[in-house]
Amino acid sequence: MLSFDEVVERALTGPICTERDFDLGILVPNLRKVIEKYGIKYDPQNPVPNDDDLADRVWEAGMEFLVETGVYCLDTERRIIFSREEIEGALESCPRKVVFGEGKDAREMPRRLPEDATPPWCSGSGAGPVSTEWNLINIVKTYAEDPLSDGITAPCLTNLDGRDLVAGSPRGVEGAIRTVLLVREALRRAGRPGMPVVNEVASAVRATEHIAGHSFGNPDTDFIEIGTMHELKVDFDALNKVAYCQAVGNLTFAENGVILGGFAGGPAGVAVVSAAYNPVDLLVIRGVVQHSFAVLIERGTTSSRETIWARSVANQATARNSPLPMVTPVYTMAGPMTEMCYYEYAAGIIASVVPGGSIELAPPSRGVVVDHSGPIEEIFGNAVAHAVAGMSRKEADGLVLALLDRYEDRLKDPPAGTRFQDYFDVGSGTPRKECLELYRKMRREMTDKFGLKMALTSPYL
Amino acid sequence: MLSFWTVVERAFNGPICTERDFELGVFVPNLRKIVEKYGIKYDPQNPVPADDDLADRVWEAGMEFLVETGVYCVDTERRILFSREEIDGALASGPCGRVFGEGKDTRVMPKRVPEDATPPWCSVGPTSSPLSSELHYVNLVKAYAENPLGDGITIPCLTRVNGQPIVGGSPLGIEGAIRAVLLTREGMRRAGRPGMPIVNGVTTAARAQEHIAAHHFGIRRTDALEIGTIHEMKVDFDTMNKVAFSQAASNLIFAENGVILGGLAGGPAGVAVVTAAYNPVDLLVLRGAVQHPFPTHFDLGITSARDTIWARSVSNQAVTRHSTLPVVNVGYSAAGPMTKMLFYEHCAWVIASVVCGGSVEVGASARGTALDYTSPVEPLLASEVAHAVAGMSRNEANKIVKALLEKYEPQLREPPVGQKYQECCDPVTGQPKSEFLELYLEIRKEMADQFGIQFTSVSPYL
Repeated sequence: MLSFDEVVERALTGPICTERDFDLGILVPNLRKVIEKYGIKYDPQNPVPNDDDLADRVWEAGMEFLVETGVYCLDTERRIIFSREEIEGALESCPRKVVFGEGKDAREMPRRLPEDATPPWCSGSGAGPVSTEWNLINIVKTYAEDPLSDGITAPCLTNLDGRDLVAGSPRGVEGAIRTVLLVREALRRAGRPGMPVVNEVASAVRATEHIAGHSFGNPDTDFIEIGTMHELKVDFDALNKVAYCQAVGNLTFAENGVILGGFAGGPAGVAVVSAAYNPVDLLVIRGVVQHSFAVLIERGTTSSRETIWARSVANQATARNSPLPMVTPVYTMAGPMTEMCYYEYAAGIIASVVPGGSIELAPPSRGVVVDHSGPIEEIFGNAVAHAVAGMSRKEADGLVLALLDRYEDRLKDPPAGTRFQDYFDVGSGTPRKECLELYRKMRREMTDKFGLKMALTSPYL
Repeated sequence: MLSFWTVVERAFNGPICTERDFELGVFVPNLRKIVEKYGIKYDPQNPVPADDDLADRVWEAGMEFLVETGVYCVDTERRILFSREEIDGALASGPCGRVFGEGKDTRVMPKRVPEDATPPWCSVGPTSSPLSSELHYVNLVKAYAENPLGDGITIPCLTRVNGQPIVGGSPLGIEGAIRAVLLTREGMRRAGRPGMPIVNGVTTAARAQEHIAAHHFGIRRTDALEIGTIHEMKVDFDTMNKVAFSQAASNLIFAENGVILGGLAGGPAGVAVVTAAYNPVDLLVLRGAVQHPFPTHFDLGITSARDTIWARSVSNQAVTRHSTLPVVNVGYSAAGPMTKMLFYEHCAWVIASVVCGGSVEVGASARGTALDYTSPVEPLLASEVAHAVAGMSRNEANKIVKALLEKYEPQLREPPVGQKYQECCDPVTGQPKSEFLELYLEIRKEMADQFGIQFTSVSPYL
């Protein structure tokens, strides 16, 4: 595989063009051309298609698109170009059977195929932004207590001692450090001190904050989550995180949030771009996991019919052709403590796991509402993910269609749900009765109406 | 003392103004007013004045100036203001006897006063001078660390990684910073001084992310990160982020203030006042364990000119008579290695700094900017001089500095370029060439014979 030094050299010396020319003169026309050439068409009637040929065409389209387009470096205004041979070399050099975490909490990241019976990797916590450190500890501890949880997605502090956390300022540095220390304490309280944090560091935006926070975490087995920018772009800040991870031997979740309705266009384009990101995540981000999520430009959700189709197809394309494992995040529109939230999670998880991915249970309420955290919903999600491993795509398609029927018409105006501190006893660190009643009801429904055999590992049966 | 987080809060909420308004509408008028009010005047005939009253007036002027001006945060365009009581509170809480280094290389930072017999702290090294190749790096650091009078090391600045020029803020900056620290640690290990503190970690790093990344690879709690203000009386978030990390990691800080003579601070009088004013800023904003000032000539880019030596002498006396925060002066000379002039320049500013109450970091040659123009020999003599003049009177120091200035002052605009490290030293063995050692011994003898400086016998080159 090309060295990271060589990638940086190309960022400094590759063909020059403005960002606008890259977006509109190169990326969009190249994408349109390959979609047409490979005949990739969105089919809303089958959100989880059962079509290997379609998956392989999406992969080929993605590779051709990547070779012709390259990756744009915002700081140097240059394109980092890769040949098909270099891409193949990266795929052949892909890290395999990487272990995360320490001691009894160490887990191997599985590489899965469509309809694979191998249990998926599950990470999460259910928290986006949180208002208090106490909430953060309780949320992380609750999710970590589920034995099916393999990794923690750290929540995001919004303030430090009551003062707004401003990224890029000294508060960003302290916020990143504090988040890491609080998450580690929560994992200790859950009895899972060796569990890996997979998005170290959530409160950090800039490389400075990531690197500072990392010094206070578990440097060998945690992940730093490093993202590309929409679409097929990176900047020095992202590359600097990579340089640091390379130097410390840190593991990287390579994140690609492809926007449906943005430069990637509709579901067909999003699937192709998601596939194209896979070797980019190896070559540029030096990831050990692709962490891709198609997200709707308008509502910012991953649980709509179009994003589910794009995800299903991209997961199949990638799982069939690349050894780089995928962990796909699932967000919901509905807030915690609502039936719709459970349905959205179930649909997103089934559409990720059955086509060959693993999952990260991202927060409810699109992950943007303070304290709309759902660790109990995410424990439910773990069980769904394990229950559908080995299911056929055809059966998964039927389940997802049925779930979409239950919530699709409410995506524009979803129920807001309940704040964490309103359904959880923060003092004792336990969910309130009504929370557990809803959780048990939804588990029963999954078993009774959808035939899922839910694991009995949950601490809240 | 005010907490760092209160200072950050003020950076967010203090009075707002443009950078230009701060410079020309606040800073410059306040400084002019104060310099006149306190009657501070440059005296070129006495580069090392022996005037306690002048020193005290410079201090008072600096504090009044700081209260009225504040520190400007470039990112928020706001002034961080401090009351006199808050400044006095910081000075009362200032660090005393901070310990640097580990094991047998542990050293306590001395707090000195003018004409103090306490041996000064001596940091040795190229003071961030750029190096073209890491081939020379380890041997150069090793040679510096072999100086027994060296209490701390200042590491050189790599300019390339695997042949590619290092671009600050890019991934090459991260790798460069990490590599510089690893190479320095290896150089010190080979010198038998593995616990010696790095006091400018990390020179190859420009941005906070590079500092922090390199920290993971060998910057210890007993090392110092060098964190600087921006000319004049300004900070930015990148600087404050380094401080935030150092606070969290319990790292020591050398708080750097390179006041520009001929810039916003004006002439030598203004530079002395601003340098004094930086002292509490270094406590409150940079959370320093040491003030690390170097008034630098706007045009020549050096600290060995007569006017910069005067400003340094006066501000050192002002600060060391009133503040608990120790001063380690850093110097930049004009001449290149293996020239008589470089020895003279180093000796002049070192004597002025030490006799006026400071400690020293020696020292950069060729203004610290010419690629590979650095050597371990001149800093060795400078550190010997620094120890020899501890306890000397300011009057005597004044005479010596004047005599030294006469030897090199006319050449400051066109100094001899000297030789590169790989020319004046054997890069394979790391040993200075025989003619270089002869020059060193000649100047050493001259300093003893002409100025009565009594050297010890610690030098490895005797």
